[in-house]
Amino acid sequence: MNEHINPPTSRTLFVPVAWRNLWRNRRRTLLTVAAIAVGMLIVQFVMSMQSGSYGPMIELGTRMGGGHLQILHKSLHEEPRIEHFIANVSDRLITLDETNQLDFVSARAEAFALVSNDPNSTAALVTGVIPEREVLLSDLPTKVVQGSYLTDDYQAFIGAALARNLQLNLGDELVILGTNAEGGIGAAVAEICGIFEATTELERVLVQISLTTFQEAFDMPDQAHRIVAQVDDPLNMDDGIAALNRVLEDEETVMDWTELMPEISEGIQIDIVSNAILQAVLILVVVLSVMNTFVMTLFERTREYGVLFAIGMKRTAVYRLTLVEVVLLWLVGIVFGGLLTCLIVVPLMFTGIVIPASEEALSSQFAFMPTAIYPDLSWWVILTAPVVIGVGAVITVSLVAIRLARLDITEALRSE
Amino acid sequence: MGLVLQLAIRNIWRQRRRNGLVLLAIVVSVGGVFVMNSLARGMEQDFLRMSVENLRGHIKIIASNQLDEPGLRHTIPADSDWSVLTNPAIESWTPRLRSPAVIMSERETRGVEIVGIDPTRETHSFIKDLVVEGRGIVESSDQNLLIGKRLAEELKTRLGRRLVMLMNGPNDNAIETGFRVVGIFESPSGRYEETYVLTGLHSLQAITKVDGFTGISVHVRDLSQTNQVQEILASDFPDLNVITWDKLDPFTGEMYRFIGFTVYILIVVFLGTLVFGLINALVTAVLVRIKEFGMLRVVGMKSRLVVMQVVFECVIIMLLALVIGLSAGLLFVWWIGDGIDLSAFTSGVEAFGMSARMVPHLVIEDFVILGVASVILGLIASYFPARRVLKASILQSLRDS
Repeated sequence: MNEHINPPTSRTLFVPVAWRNLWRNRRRTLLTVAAIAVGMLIVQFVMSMQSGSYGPMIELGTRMGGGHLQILHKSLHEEPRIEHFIANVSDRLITLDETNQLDFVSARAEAFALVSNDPNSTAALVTGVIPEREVLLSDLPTKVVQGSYLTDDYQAFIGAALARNLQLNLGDELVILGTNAEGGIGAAVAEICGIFEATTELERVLVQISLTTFQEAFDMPDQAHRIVAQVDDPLNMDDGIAALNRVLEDEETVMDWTELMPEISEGIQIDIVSNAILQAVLILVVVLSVMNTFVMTLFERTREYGVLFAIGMKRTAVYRLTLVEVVLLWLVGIVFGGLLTCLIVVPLMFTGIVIPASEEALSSQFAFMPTAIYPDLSWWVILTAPVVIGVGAVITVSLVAIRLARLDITEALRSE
Repeated sequence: MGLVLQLAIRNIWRQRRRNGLVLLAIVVSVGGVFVMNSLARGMEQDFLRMSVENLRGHIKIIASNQLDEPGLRHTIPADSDWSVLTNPAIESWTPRLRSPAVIMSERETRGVEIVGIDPTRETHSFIKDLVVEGRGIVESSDQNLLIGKRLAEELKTRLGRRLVMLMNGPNDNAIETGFRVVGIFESPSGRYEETYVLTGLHSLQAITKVDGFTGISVHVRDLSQTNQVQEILASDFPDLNVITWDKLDPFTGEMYRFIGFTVYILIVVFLGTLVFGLINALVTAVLVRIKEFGMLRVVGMKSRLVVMQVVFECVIIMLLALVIGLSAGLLFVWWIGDGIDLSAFTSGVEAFGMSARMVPHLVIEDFVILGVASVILGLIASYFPARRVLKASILQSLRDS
């Protein structure tokens, strides 16, 4: 209490005085700065972790399933029937290849059919794909455990469970028998070129053949059921949708993964809301803890305030001075907090936090699960913590100010 | 020692405002961490529950080819010796007969899965919670059909109507039979309503001429014993496939592991938050008393005793805060009891194995870790700053502002 008590005469003096006040008690200041910085780090870490966990979930779903975007017949999603096809596929693929809003495009045709290897037979989902395009946009080709993925027409790529059920080996012939769009018979014979392992359902029912073979078998010249596209960012698909809309024909519609696979987007929605609640509690705990530090350090200075009042400084001026101090403290705090985040969270954005893999996850069958979470620092994640802590700090000072206003000078001077 | 303790208690009371603030900070940290932890654990549990309830159980005994070819072709004979299932680790078990089937009303045709159940044994699957219009399946010999609300809408049928069912028999023979709809169920998951149609186990066995089951779902009393029980059952039924739920549903199993891992990270972060809150409050509280400690040393108190006094004070505040914080947390968890309904934020459909309700779940170990960690942290966060402060000379301490 022995220095710098010149009451500030103008507003401009507040900042240097406040700054000196802060460094007068270095230990106390550093403690508060540490509180703010660590609090900020904790909140940013948790928020970035959460927002980073959705990318893998979406990629996982879309790369094993229907891609990010599709063009399909209006009725196909509700009623998956072979007659709900789309036409002029090859020209449109070439057009779409030239747009840079889409990363990869391909076309698929599909039909439920009886597949057999005498005397065994079963129902399967036969899909016609364009192999050289499919490898770019789907993860299924990488799940091969025997042979290789489709390279030619009249080949079939099937799941391990189906191979066991029908007692099929590489090189064997698979007979496909179904109904074409006109109600006639669609039939094909394909040689098993590869066997994949994935989820039991896929392994049991999925048969892939080349689109050309499919079109020939089911009498669908240049037709298919879906044009499938992958975009750069599955959470921002407006450009991709616009690109697909430009080649849309009558009776067709564009659907995105949230409509095609609602279970993924709803799962994410539920997760966002429940995590928002967790984060709210976390932020509350952190902010209250920082506020507590402020309150304690301000109360410890009761005597100092008494001295300031005694020599005639106005209470509003003292409040303003304290406010400036707190804002400066906050600024220093968030600078350090930002540094901590840069040192700890940013490297994890590149290395990822590796999820310890279970035995099963290491086998190819389940290799579709993400093996690491990469934190994602969006503006929202970066700004929440400093803003909330700042608001908490200002509220704290104002609360303390109410007490200061009522403070009796002699009592204040007597306090320890 | 007694004197120091008395001093500590009086000190706490002398500085009511400061200690009240420290107490409040710790109460908020402990209480908040407790609530966050129970909610995070609840999410994890929910995931498991949704998978297990979906007619899986913790462990499933099935015929060896059933996974590759679901249906009536591969079944377990009913007259096997089931005495091993009386194992005390097993809470309940229920046999079912399930087959893919085609169901037809006068207007529509759909693919479903018919499930023959023994209603008295269905104590753990989603079937126990169904809201039914009409009546449910009441006995194993019930010959009627319980279908989901969505399926009823799709088939444009209603209570009392007859439906025709087509399925593949055990020898690939076609089975065609009629059922009367006696109940329409609603379930939290629309998928159940579309997929499953239920009837009595015995009556389905009679219709299909299968004297057996497609699978037996086993519920263990304690989840941690799942693998142990699985080994016992597997050695007892060498010809059958005995699988735990996470292997049976690898997708959810992996998701559970994934969620479990994120919960684990969250708990580490929560503990970090707790450490941060505690150290912050306690260190600040010690550092503002440098002058006081200097005074105590001037009047001849030994440094060791001063440290002890500070540690006592902190531990007392800590314990008090733990009791209040954990009680407040418990009270809050009890208050949200049935969970927080999130359906307003989603389209109301259970999806991806998660429910639209956030139900807290208490894990005793987490509780204990929280308590023990807090007390140890309290000791550290008071001992080290106090010792450091006392290293300074008495004169320096007395000059401290």
